[in-house]
Amino acid sequence: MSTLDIDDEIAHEICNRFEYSGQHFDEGSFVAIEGGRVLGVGGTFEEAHEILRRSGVPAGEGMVCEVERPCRIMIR
Amino acid sequence: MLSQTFPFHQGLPTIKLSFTHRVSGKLVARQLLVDSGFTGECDLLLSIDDCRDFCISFARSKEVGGALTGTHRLVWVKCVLPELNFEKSVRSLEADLSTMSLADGIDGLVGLSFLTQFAAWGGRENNGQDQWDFFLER
Repeated sequence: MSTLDIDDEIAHEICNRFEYSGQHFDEGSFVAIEGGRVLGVGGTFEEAHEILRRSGVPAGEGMVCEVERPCRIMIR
Repeated sequence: MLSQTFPFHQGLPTIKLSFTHRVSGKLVARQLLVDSGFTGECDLLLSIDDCRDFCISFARSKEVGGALTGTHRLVWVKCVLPELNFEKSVRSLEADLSTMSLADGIDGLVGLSFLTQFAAWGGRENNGQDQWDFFLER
């Protein structure tokens, strides 16, 4: 399993339970995840993205997960 | 209020959006089909190559139904509409466009989540000449 797959699993768990590894996450917040770790939480995408950059994650890598109830995308 | 219009492409409503290239930092334009039937928490659909080139970070993957099915990767991309003073990071679905019946010259889709960020949007006839434009107002 790739690092990205692991980060994606963490993001799914956060959105399913609003909690991960004992930490609560508010709906509407943005979580910076990389290398299987939660690096921080921001109120906007830009804040979470900045956490990735300040943590040394190269541009185009790392994940920003908006905390939201899972819903399906439809293309009709 | 700021307004921008885009001519229909082969009779279809489209928007020309610019994206920041991940490596060069330059703006790259793409013509996207407006699809108000593309719903859910995702703004755009772009090719796998474009998602790689424009990705500023990854987003949580999502289940997709309808014209595409299964779990698809999403990326955050920065898009720009200079005339509307619009610059925002939005989520794009990554898809193999060859499996979709898109008209030539169409590089992807714009969904309802993107459109609803504007005060008004829609199609209108241009000067009564049976030529149509798609407009966005902000």
